[in-house]
Formats: sequence, structure tokens, C-alpha cells
Amino acid sequence: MDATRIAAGLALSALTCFTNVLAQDEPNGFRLRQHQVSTQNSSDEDVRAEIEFGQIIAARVLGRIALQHNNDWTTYVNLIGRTLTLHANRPELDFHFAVLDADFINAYSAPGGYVFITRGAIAAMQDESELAAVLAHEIAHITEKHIVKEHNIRARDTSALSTVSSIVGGAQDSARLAVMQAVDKAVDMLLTTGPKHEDELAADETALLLLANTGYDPFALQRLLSRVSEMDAEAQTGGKVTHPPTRERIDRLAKLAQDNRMEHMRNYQGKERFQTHAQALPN
Amino acid sequence: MRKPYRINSNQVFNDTRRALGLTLFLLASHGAVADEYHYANILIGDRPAGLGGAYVAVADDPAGLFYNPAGIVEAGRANLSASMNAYNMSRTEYKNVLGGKHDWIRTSAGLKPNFFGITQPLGPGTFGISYAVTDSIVEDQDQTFPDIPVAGNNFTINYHNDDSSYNIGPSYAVRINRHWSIGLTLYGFARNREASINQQAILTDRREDANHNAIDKDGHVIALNSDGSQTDPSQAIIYDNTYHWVNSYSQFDEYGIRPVLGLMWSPAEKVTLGASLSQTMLATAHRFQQDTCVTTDRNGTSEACPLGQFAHQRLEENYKREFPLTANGGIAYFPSANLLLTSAVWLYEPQYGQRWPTWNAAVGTEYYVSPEYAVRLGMFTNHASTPQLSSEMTDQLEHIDLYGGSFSLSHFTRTSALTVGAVASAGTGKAQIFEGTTAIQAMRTYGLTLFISASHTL
Repeated sequence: MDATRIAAGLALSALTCFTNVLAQDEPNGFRLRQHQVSTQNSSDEDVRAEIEFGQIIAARVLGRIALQHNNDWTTYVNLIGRTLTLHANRPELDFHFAVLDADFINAYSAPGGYVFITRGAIAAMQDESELAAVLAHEIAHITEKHIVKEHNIRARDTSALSTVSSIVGGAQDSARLAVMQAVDKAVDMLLTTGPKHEDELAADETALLLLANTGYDPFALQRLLSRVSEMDAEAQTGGKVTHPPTRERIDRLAKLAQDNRMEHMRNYQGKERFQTHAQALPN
Repeated sequence: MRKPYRINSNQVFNDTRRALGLTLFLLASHGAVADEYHYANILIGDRPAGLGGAYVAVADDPAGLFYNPAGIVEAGRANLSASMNAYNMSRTEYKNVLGGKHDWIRTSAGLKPNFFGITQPLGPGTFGISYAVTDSIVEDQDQTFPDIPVAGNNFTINYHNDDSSYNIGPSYAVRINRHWSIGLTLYGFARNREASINQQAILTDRREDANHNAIDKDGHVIALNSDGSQTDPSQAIIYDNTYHWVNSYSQFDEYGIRPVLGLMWSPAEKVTLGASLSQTMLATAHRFQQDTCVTTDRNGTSEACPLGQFAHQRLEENYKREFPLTANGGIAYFPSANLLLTSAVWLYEPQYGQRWPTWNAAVGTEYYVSPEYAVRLGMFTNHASTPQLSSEMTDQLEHIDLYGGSFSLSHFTRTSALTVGAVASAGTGKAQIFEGTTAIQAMRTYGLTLFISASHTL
């Protein structure tokens, strides 16, 4: 008895002692088996599943925050947003942009191409490039499939074998339950906890490149973040902290711009056109 | 006409009478658990079963909840479910049991859900819940022995034993860093056993001489005295159509917990080490037994079974039973996405009675013939937890080391897998199935489990 206990304890202790000595950088990738490797790429069915999942989330968002019914602004944000998506890498998606009737500063995106920005966020902007920057950040969440990957959204397998497996495994109810749980989690993440820290930073970086490629001022996002960081926290997000610390984001954007030699880039800011539309937006 | 046996007739008679009259109680005490003499009676989960149970260092799907909960963090963000249904068959033969002539044969067959598990990310880690049947037997013996070599004894035995152990409970695992993860499964444990045995022995024309040597109908001594002499047949005592009848029913209910603490370590590219500790701890254990017997054999009477009267006994008690602390360790090598090599060792702490420290080992490999098909092969031991039998001792537990192999074939679709497979094991050993005698019987066991399972990524 004691010998077994001691042996087990020693074995575990020995493992602990050598934890970091032989550690490697990516320990888990090698665990992927052949059938998992071959299903990494998305199929048309997966894209459809992503869009359907995003539609449910978008509907939930609109159930919480009302839509701003202003045709001029709806047209304007869609014009800018769809221009940006021409340079994004998801041509299979049909993007939709809308303004939410909320005073706080925030923006959301749902899988499949659904992007929302609050009236309060627009009010904090000074030019079109800043609006484009926020939309680009949300587009990046979609193109990089952050929510899709987080919740492993894929098309259901309707093959005969899968059907047999469902019956044997009793997994049909579990599948339905899992989808609803994923929707709940995704909505909670969007509106309350915010995306993962690393996803936010990655979206910033993609947005920077997207802005530059589209012809907008690549420093627009930094400018907007700096201005917003000086505002009252409640006004910023409606009390919901859904983004990483602003200082970190600004610093990383500055470094990325420097690494890509954008310091002297003077792209379009669109102050006048933005101000013209801004007058049409109710306070 | 039978030839006299050159053995001590008293020994034959007494052993046989014991076999006829006392077997019930002996077997009831010896067969207290489905197979308490081994620790690896059922391989849990489809992938582990194909790998011979060598899964502690793999454990990256719902079956890991049972073998090493730390491994389920490797399941990633997917919601996984898996289930397994297994049809178990086994046959155990005890050689030359009655009067050194007849074999006892017990068979078991039954279909049971062997495992169900589901995992999903929760908070900083991965949550899971699983159900595992770690031991299950539905055992039957229906035999009649018409010619036991003591003057025409006729013996019938009907035995049924349904004994299963269940584990169900939640698990949670977290990744400590890129290389380490830790997990805990807290199973609720339940074991339910229900057994009944009915034995009838008709001692037709059994005759003894004055020295209790058995003689046949013609008065010939069929066994000699120990000194080789014979007794005058005219002094024979004749018992015509005397009988023993014994019936017993027993029920055991045990409830407790079984925590499983697991660690997973990835020390180098393509290599993982896993370890787990587990122990079943009973909170309650209750036994109920009811025995009825009657005998008309003057030499077969006892305090519990007096001559010519139905005797009833009823026993109800709480008892204690301890289980060994089990340490399971192993290593796995993932040379490519097509190939997996894995091994595992188990060490068991002896805890009570005649238990002996023992160990088991398993090796397994998985190979993808194509992205849609994978085959698995495994080999494993299932050593006895009892010592070797001694010819000078009585009331010893059986000792039989089992060795087995496993095979499975999985077919994958995008989100699911269907697996079919088989696990076979066999072994030879020795048993002492009658209490109070030094007689040892050779025994052998064959077992075959056929299983079908499904897993899903949700």
C-alpha cells in the first residue's frame, strides 16, 4: 500500500520537477488525427452554418438593442462597410451593416457578415476614416472567424453513417442543446464579456491593414481609441468592458504601423462627407 | 460394473458430500463480486478498447474522463460526446470438480451500455460528465451431473449471478500551461449484485460399509480403505433415495465515490505522458441473504441443515469492503497524424483478505488507412490479484492470469465516428471452489466482447 502511494507520489513529483526543462512551443498540434486534419477547411455547408448561426446572434442583439431607423445612415455605413469588405478575404459572405439606437460607444459583429455600430460610437467620431476603422475591426472578427472557431460552428453531418452514429450515440438532443448553448455564449460574449483578448488585438491588426488597403487613413483607429480613452468610462461602453485596455491596443497599432512603414502614409479621412451625414443623425 | 478406485473413499465421499451440501455457501462467499480477482475486466470506451486500454497518456476525448481527466483539455473547443455498447461473453471451466470427474461450466452473456461521456469547454477549462460500467457479469450455470462416482449420486445445480458496478460523475480539467494539464473526475460508485443458487443432490442407493467405504449395488467395494483392506459387504448401511436440497438468494448493494486525479504532460514534440490515481471508497455496503435447505441424508446433516426438516436462515448486515489505490501511468507517441503508439502500466495496492499486489500493462497502436478509416490494435494483461494456490491450504481464492488482444475499426465523417471492435482474453489457472478441502481444480476462462460505439463533435 505505502509502496504504491510513494511510487505514485514520486512519479508525479518527478514529472513536476521537469515541467519546463523539455517543454516545447506547440505541444498540442501533433494530437490532431488524420480525420481531424482533413476536416479543418470549411465547406460550403460550413459557410451556410456560419451565416445561419450569425443570423440567430444578430437577431438576439437586435432584441436587446433597437435598430436606429435612419435610411441615410444605413446607406452610408453599408457603403463604407462593403467597400472595406472588397479587400477582405471572405468573398463568399454578404455583409450587412446597421446602426444601433444606443448612446454608449460600442460595435458588434456576428458570424456570417452582420456588423452593428452604436449611435454613440458614431457621435464620438470626427471623420469617415474613423468610422471605417471601427467597421474594419468588426469585419476582421468575421473574416478571422473568431466566434466560429470559439464555438466550433460547422455544418451538421447529414451522411447516413452520421445518422446511424446519432442513433447509437443518442447525440441528437445533445446537438440541439450544444447549438443553443453556443448561441447563448456568443451573445453573452458580444454584449457582456467581450471577445477574447487575443482576438481583439488580432482584429485591430487586421483592421489596420484593411484600412490601408482600402485607401483610408491607417491611423484612424489609433486616433479614435485615444479620444475615447479620455472619455467617461460609462459613456464608452455603457458599463460593459468588452475590449482590452486601450493603451495596449494603441501601442500595438503604432508598432504594427511602424513595422509596415505606414508612418508617412496620408490616406483619405473624409471629414467633410462624414460631417454632412452626421448632421442627419439624431442625438 | 465399476472398478474400485485406488483412493481413500472417505476422502472422495466427504469431498463430494461437501460439494453437494455446502457448495452454495462456499460459492456465495467466494463469488462476492463479478470478478473481484482481476482489475481490468472491461475496457471502457471505444478508442481505448481498441488500444488495449492503454489510454492514460492519450485521453483526449470523452473516454479520457475515465482514464485520465487531465487529457480532456486536449479535446479543444469542440463539444464531444461518445457512447459505447458492448456485448460480453465469457466461459469459465473448473476441471474435474465433482468426484474428480465432472467439469463445472459457467457462462456469462449480456449487452450493456458500457460508456457514455460528453465534454465541453466551460470557463477556463473543460467540463465533462461520464458514465462507465467497470464490471458487469450475468452469469449462469445450469448443469446436471448424473454419475458422480459415489454410488450413483445425481446432482443438479442452477446458478444465476447478475453483478454490475457503475460509475457516473462530473469531471473538470484545466491547462496549467502549454505542457501540463490537470483534471479530476468525481464518480459516484454503485454496485448491485443479485444472485440465486439452487442445488439438489439425490443420493440413489448410496451404500457404505461400516468403515464408510462406498460400495455399489452388488455389494462390491468401490473404494478401498486407506490401508488397502476391504470390509465385509454384508455390513453395508444402505441409504435409498436420500437427498439434499439447498436454495439461496443473496443481494449486495454498495455505494460510494471514486475520485480520479489525472495529470497530462507533453515533455517533447509528439510525446505525451499521463498519470492518474484513483480509488473507490464505499460509504455504505449492505448484504441480504436468505438460505433454505433440507436433507434426508444422515451423514449430510448439520446445525444449519438438520435431518428431515426445512431450515431457513436469513442474514442482513452492513459490511465493509476496501478497494485498492490504483496508479496508472503511460506514454504515448504521435509520430504523425496517421499513427499513434501508446502504452500503459497499472499498479494496484493490495488492501484486504488474500489480495496480492499486482500490476497490469497494455500496449496499443492506431493507424489511419485513410482520412476516413482508422484501425486499432492492442494487447493487455489482466493479472490475478490473488496469490498462487498452495496444495496444503484450504479456502483459497482462485488465481488465473488473463491475457488479451483487441481490435477496432472506426469510420469517420466530418462530425462523427462509428466504431466496431472486439476484445478477447483467455487464461488458465487454479481454483479451490469447495470450502474446507485442499482439493485444487484447474480452471480456464475465455472472454469475448463485441462493441459498437459512436462519437460526435457537436
